[in-house]
Amino acid sequence: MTTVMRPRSMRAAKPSAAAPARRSWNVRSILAKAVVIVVFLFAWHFTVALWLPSYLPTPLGVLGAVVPTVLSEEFGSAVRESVVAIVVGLAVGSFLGTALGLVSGRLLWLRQLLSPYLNGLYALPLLAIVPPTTIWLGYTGDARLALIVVAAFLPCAVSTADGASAVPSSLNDVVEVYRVSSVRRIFDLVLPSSLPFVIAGLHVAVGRAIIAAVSVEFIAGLNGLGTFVLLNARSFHQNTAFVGVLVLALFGGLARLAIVWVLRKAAPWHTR
Amino acid sequence: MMTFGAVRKIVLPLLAFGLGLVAWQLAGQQNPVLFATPGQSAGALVEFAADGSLGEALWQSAQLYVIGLSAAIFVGVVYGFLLSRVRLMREGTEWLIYFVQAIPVVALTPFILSGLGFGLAAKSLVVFIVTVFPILINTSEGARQVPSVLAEVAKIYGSNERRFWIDVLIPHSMPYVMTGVRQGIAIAFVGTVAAEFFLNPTGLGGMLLLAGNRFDSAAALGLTLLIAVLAAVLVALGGVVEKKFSPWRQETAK
Repeated sequence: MTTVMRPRSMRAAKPSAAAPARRSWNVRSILAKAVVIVVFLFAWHFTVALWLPSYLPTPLGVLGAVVPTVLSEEFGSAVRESVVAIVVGLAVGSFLGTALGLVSGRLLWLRQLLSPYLNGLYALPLLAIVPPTTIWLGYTGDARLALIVVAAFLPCAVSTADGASAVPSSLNDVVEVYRVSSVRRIFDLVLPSSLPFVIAGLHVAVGRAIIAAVSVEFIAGLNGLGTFVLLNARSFHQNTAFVGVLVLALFGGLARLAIVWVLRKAAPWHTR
Repeated sequence: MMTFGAVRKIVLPLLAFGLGLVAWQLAGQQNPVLFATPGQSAGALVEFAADGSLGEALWQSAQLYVIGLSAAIFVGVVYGFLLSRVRLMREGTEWLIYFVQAIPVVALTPFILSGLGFGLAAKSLVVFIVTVFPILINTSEGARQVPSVLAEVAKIYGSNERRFWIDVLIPHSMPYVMTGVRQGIAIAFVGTVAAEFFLNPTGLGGMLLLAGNRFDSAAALGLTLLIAVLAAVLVALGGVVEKKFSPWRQETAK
């Protein structure tokens, strides 16, 4: 078999995209980016000014709202609530998911036993389990945490299992010949060789965890960034609300960068 | 004769599924308010089907899904090809695409609601935004990986831009486009449920949200399961589409 397995991730292959990007930092490309930013902001401004209700966020309005919003007490407590839930949920969910993925990727019977649940839940829109979860756990922080854990767990388990079951057979033969114990096998062979899949799972998990947090906050009205956005948008402070959206996007971006950074430190041989 | 492995591949998932059902039944008997039993959940679905509300909900969801997905395929594929051919466009807008993609779409729904209302157009827009990025990114990635030998041969033989698209660019990128479409088919359903949850409750997502709000665990569990089945069917359909339209793809990018 010579088929190449690639992590299932929403992103297409990264390395080939990075190479041309590095070359393109010349005057022309900077100019192109500047023009696009200006056109984008103008288009946004005039679309709202000419065709849409005037209470919608505008570039200037959002810019003006950044400082007062970030300094406000209300925003600070919303950020704390959401970020703590997301970080804790991500840590627990991705740890459990990766661990299960590593084990089930190696044990065919376990993978087959779990497949209806893992693959079914992975395909299921996460939003669809919000109503049952709020029935079971109420409109509480527990429901939010549980959903973030599930949201992070699934992509990690599925992706890691893909990676763990695709370890090169020559390496498998080596550990077989040397009669390496099964615990050492996981840490010395399976984990290192499936790291790209682990990372791909984490990438998806970050995005899904944020969406899970926002969705539960929307539905249950818990204190957090989602509710901050929703309440401000409803009370026509939409510029303030949009700052919340930008902070969510920034948080997701930073979390992904941190994952890549950890990978680079932990496994330099995987970064090309 | 089926081998032991082939039998096991079918039996074990079924066994797990059966055990799950038993566990669900026991949980339902322990606490009938929180966990409706499988029978009650199926009964709730049958009731919805009988009074026509399920059929109407499916039709409403299907409209959003199809409109949003078709628009996303069209825009994503065309823009993805353009990105690969027009360097200035790529340098100018590609980073912006990655940036916009980082914004959780669910958090944008309050703005879409107050800007465009909750009609079919606004909801389809949510589906579109969620779906367009995987298609766009896969297309431009595929189109950029046209082997330089092919591009050079086309150039030497004096191929114009139009012939280059028809003879080289589109056939070569098709497998990648289809990978994007496969991901789009799955994720458009997520977008549909999101639109129905957060703009106004219609369709299958709306039914589920309302069931959750009135703590009707039979209806909520039944509808969640129905959505799970539909999602699995769509994922499988996406796999079939991907295989069917790109039989010449060489490597499997799962």
